[in-house]
Amino acid sequence: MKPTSPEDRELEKISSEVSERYRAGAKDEPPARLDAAVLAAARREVEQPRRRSNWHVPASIAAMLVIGVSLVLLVRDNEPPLQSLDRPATEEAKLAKSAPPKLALKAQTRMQADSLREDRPSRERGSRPDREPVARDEVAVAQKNSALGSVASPAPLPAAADVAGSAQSTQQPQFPAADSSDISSSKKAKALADIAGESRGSAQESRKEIDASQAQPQGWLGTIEALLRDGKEAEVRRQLLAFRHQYPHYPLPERLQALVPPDQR
Amino acid sequence: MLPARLAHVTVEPVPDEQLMLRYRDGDAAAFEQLYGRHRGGVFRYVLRQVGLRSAAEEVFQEIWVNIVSSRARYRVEARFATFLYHVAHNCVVDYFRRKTPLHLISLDDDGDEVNQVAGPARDQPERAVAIRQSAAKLLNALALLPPEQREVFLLHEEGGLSLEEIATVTGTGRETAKSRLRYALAKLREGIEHEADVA
Repeated sequence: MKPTSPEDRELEKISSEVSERYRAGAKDEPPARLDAAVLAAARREVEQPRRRSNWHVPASIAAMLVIGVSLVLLVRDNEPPLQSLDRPATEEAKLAKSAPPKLALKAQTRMQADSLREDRPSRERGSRPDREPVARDEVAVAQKNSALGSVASPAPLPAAADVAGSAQSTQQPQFPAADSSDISSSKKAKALADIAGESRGSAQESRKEIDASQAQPQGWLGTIEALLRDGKEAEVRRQLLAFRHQYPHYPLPERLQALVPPDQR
Repeated sequence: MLPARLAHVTVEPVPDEQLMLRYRDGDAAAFEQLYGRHRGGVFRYVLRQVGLRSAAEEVFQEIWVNIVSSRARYRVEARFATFLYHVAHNCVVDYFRRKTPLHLISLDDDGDEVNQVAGPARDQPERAVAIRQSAAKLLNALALLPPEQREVFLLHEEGGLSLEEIATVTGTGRETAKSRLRYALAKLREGIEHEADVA
């Protein structure tokens, strides 16, 4: 102990006095048998060094594997299934109702985002592939109505003919080339072209009916009376049947009632 | 009594840390030198604290077994004496945890469990008796010290540790160690003087 201050020097002085007395009396030593035991243990340690246990590394790897696999399984079990972008809104709403609060909030947020995206005018949205099936369905309905004739399509279809026309242009590029070397392909192409031609003709016929159906009952009746004045009685009867089918309870003028079957007057 | 071989090696000037490193590397003779240097101090440090010689021997052996066992992990981070008395401190603490209550040395008894303080044979009989009586008084006063002050005094006297090293071993600050040592020395000196006045 190096005395660095007067206090330390005084402490050192007292220490030396007491130490002299202490050392005069403290002569205790460990017994020889204890010395021998300690030295023998030290020699044994050097001569037979303990084999380092090598179980740490494999045990650590095993533990890491167990923990890792458990975590993966746990995460996989708790992970919600991936949600499709085309999921109907009803499913979203159902999920929002049945899911826990956190998931419900997530679903609601997603529904709000979808509605905002639909409200926002977007150039890309028109070209989205998930919108095309809807347009194709409308085209198919228009073609079917055209093929069935005016009687079978009494319901007013606004601009359905235009849609059909656009469907033509939409579907035409899908036809295989006529000069294809494959015979079956050319036959198929011809058949498809015929169908397209028929649908084009029937679409032109139905245009008049659709135009008529676009009008109010009064206007439609005016058109029928004009046909009657022109002497097209068969056409008048057909139009009247369609009119009665569309408007079962609308009163017909007396001159037209005579052309309608009695049960439909 | 220290074997002649151990007494011979204690005069080697090789530092303790170097000896321990050599022992770590497989030199058993280096450990014998190290043991010869510190066996007495460690034994007395333990004996003054636990009181009973049989218990002191048990703790003493435990201390050195710990030192031997830790040889492969030994790194020179402090003086070897600091490391050694740190181990000794922990073993004594463990002893008191296992053995309660504390057994104090009875210096009035001349039985086997008493510190046998022997004076040099060459001294005059009267002188030897006086020294023996004075040392017995000091040891008696030492036994009456609070354990913390007694330990600090023993670390200073037997281990030769500085205040900083004592603070490290006992897990206290330097000022705390210094305060404890000052109180211990004052009480020991007071005890010796009081006994002298009474005599």
